[in-house]
Amino acid sequence: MLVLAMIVTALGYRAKARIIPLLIGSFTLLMIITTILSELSPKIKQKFDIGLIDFKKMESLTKKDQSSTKLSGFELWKKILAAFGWTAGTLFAIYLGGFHIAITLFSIFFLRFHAGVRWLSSVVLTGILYGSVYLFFDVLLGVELYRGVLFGALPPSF
Amino acid sequence: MLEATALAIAALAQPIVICYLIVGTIVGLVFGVLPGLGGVVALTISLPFTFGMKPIHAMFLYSGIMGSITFGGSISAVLLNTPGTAHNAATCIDGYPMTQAGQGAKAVGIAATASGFGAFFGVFVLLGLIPIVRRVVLAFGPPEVFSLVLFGLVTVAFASRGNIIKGLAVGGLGVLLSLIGFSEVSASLRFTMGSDYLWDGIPLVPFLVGLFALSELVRYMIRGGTVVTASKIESRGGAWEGFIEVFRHKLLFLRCSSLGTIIGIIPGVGATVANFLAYTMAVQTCKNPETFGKGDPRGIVAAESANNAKDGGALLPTVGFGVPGSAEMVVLLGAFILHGLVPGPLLMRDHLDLVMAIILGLVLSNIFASTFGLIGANTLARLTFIRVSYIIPFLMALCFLAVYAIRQQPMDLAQLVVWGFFGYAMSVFDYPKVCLVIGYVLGVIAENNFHLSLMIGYGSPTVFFTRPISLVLLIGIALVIGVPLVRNWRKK
Repeated sequence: MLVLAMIVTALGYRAKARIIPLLIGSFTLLMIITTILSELSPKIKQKFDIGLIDFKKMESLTKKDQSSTKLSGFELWKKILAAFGWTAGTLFAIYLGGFHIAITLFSIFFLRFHAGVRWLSSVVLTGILYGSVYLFFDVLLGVELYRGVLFGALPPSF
Repeated sequence: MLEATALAIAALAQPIVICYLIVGTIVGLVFGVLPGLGGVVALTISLPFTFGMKPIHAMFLYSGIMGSITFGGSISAVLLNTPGTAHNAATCIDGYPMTQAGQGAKAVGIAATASGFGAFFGVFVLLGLIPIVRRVVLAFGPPEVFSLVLFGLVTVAFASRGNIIKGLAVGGLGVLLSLIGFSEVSASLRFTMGSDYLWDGIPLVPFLVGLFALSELVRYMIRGGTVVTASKIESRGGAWEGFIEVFRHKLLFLRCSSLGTIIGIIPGVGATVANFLAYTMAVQTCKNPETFGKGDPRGIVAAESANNAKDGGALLPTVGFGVPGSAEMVVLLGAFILHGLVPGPLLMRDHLDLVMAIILGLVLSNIFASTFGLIGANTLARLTFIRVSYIIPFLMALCFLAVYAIRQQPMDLAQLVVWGFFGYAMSVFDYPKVCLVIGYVLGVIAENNFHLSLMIGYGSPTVFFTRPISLVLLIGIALVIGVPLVRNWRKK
């Protein structure tokens, strides 16, 4: 969809500006269509399934990472949504309260509620993290970290 | 060249540079040992921290990381049967059985020695080729650079995970992403959707950090548990025996190091390929191949010498032509841009001292890494027993802070998250991230040289076919795509 949108948009540009987007875009779209068709049809997939190294075959010779477990579809989606929630939540917290507050809250809540670590350990680890961030970024590098819109920083503009 | 080497050596006289080298080596070892992280993540996260440094100091830091990553990965490959980086996957095949037989320290010793000497081999070949390449690059005009960029995109697609069609699709998408923003060629804005933020295009650091680092953190979050679930580390026996063992297989070492260097020179093809190809070659050419896979030291010698020799080889197209030789080199190109250097044929002419700094850094970091690794292999391997939940807050904070520190634009953080999840989705569906990044980095170079070529050829695209080097490269592209396809169709 993105590639198609870029091709259509490029049609409205001047000749010099659109030639590469159209060439590359058309080629990319063709490759994407071929990929989709190969996912739908095993025959087509066989024809285009080439690479220099058969990574799957070689990796079957090594023992896979033992900590990876097979998750069912629903469980996997739950974990993906949780991961998205934590990441997007951190981003939102940075936007509202700034880095210092966001990192502290993320660390404490992630360790306590996602990792199941006890409150005391969560606070201690968060303290180490906060201290490192403050020392390295505020003191050593002198970077002015984003304060958050609640504390007077300008909202990000797109 | 001597003057440039002297400048690089003189930089080493500053204690701070030695510190950067040691810090880079330690960071590389740690990120190498932890599976899923690796050199690209370490380099992308370190990018923002080098922003205020002198370029030559930054190069020593990067080379410290690059020189130690692969050996770091071999530690967990050998001791825990889990490759720290994809480049070490073949090392597991014989490394772990040796550990199971109580020869873990010997196996680590073999890996350290083969890694170190393999890197030296690659560097010596590079040093020998630099004077030749400096002359060759002068023969490269815009049509040749454009053809070389296309060649790089195609070979990386061919050599990456997934299949070539996925690689080409993703590479093309990367090129399209690089076109967002202000175009110097046409003096117009493209694909910005009326946004001021996208004037300069998609910023490099959030893109790289999101795609590689944050996506791995997301994977850790989803997976949970410890980094690796081995019960203990078996590491008895002598590392010195491992050191001696490499010299018993000198010819194998030389063959695999040569193969690794050649693979590194081919644009876009990386250490993962070198690792597996060298191992496969060793099995096919050595006596008593039935012992491979059961703790044969030759397996480690083959794999590790190749994947470290490729570093020297991969530097050649990167600094000589501005076409990355591996995923790590893509980040190095990004680092050049960040420090105001223009990657391409003129880099070797105008900044040879930086190139020599990287080479010197690679040599020294391999020495440091092998030494640290041999002394602290067990300790480093224990890092993998840490629960991932403890690591995630630190690394997540590092990602967000590192991205913000560069431009201090909050929107960069949103980009980071978007690319993080995009990168995770690419991993799940087996689309090679390296192709996307290489396409992104090379896209603008390709477009600029395309238009310059058309100007040289008075608007005619035949200019790409009438110049011999360009024609050879285009024929190479056709062969790289066409020959395996035709073979595949005939087989099936």
